[in-house]
Amino acid sequence: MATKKRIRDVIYGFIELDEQELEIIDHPIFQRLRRIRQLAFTDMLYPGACHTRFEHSLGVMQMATYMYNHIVEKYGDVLKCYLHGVDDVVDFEKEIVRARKIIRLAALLHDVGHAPFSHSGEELMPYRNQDKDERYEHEDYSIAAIEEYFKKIIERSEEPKGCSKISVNDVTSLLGKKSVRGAGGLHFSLKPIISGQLDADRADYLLRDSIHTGVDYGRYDMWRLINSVALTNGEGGTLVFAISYKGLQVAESLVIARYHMFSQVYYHKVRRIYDYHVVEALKEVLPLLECEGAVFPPPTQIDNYMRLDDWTVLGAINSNLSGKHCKILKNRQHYKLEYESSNPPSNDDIRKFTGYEAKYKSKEHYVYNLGKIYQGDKKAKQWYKPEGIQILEESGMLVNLEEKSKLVTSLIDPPPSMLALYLPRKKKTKEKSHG
Amino acid sequence: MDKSQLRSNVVCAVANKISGIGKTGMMKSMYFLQQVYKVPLGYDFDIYNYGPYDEDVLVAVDSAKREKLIDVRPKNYNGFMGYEIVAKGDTISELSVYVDALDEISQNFGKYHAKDWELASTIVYLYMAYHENGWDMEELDENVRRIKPHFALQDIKAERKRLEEIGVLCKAVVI
Repeated sequence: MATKKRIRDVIYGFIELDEQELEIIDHPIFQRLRRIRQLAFTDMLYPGACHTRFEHSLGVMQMATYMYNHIVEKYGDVLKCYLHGVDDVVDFEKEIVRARKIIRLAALLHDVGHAPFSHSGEELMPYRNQDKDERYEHEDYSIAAIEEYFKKIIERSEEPKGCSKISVNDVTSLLGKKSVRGAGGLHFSLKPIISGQLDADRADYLLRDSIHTGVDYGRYDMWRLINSVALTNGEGGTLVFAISYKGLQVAESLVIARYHMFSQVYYHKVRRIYDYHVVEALKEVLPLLECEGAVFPPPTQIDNYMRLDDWTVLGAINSNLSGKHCKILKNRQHYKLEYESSNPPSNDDIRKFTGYEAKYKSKEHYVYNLGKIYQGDKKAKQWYKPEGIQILEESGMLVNLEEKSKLVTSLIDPPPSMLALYLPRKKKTKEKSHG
Repeated sequence: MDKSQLRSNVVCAVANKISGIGKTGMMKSMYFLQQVYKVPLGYDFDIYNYGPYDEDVLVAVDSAKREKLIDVRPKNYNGFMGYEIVAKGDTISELSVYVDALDEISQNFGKYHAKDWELASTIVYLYMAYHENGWDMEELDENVRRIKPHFALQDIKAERKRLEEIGVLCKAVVI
């Protein structure tokens, strides 16, 4: 990679970019990520949490590159052996360069389709099916945006002579695109770097969110993690992305970091109520922004969607202070937690909440049901999913992390499902909380 | 029955049908049940070099284990340590509407090893994309080989032919 520019970063010190990557970053659609905050209104709780999807995207590219370079350096023989016989992988050394470029581009662009206020606004993405039980996700918008705005830049890649051209499909096939025509090859074998429980996205956001919130729980030994990623052949000869046995402790600390960040930041009681207010405020202002049905435009209307960012929505919120939730956001007058159940809710809790729903039916209130939220968004609500990380033992055997670590075993819980009641400040009652 | 109950009960039903099934087999049988036999499991499969995968299948396996519907035991599969899923509970009567689908999974794939499950499910996944987009089917086998280069092209072709003959590819693209 011919380095064109170095950008300062809070985690890696410097992130190096070549000319093509600079062209992507300078594109107005990528610049939009400067106007989408990583953690929405988390700064209402942690004032430092004002970082954006822009710096995270650069960071994921750097982290993915470190992981990739380590794999190629240490497990090149495994890869070479695996790819033996793929017709267009004629020169492995050149293929390494090509695959690095594809992985960097996928990492850089993975979040380009995020909605205003990141995940908080995703509840207002339109349904993708007639049954109305499945909404579009930001990945759908990322793929649509990459194809619409970045195809030409991606396909101008200068891959080494003798390698097949890099296509936009090479990039989107790593990001969940279902139509994987031509998918395969070295970069595709390493898809878990981009999408999995050990991916560069997770490795970056835990550190970055931790630094910006000031909550140290998200930190782990980054260099140990990078130097522990491993590759081996699994049952039937398939490549398996794993962690070397020497990295058992860092794998544990990654899972624990995630558990702590979820409980202390992403699902903190104040953050949760702001996620609710954001959605309600969006419902108030999206019609003013010509969004039909108070939902975001679908990925098929990508131009229309991309004009929306935190700035446009905040501007609309600021000019619509007659809107109840807009006003709440501006003045930090969020509903207060009145009562929170145990996890999972006891029968007594459920009885209480049935009573609350009847009592507050016609009054302002919000009942937070994490179980329901989990069912609606499967991606982020469990600290660790079974078999998410495999440990490559010294003997060459693969063992699931949860079998090597009692700490991790204790974190494979069913998804959290507590209930919470929030009430507007002036309507707070005297019911006692044990939350 | 809600979605998570359906998922863990279907895990149990498959374990009842295919004795000694491993986790790869369970993952791919869920893929076939959903995509080919239209059982509404609500998974969101993405494609990797090991075939279609959704980590929530393993969550369902874990739930079924907690609910004592199945047992998961370590087992050596030709030198690789894997896990055998053994049914502990009966298949519930509410799943009787899916009995044909479960029978077909068992008949068509019951004797498969992990490697075979991966290949068959990868072919189905790509076939659906090729069919939906009207792409040249001649490219399909080559595309599968790019994703799974440890398979010989003739093995891929043979498996695709078999899937065609038993009607799996045809059913997969029926909406």
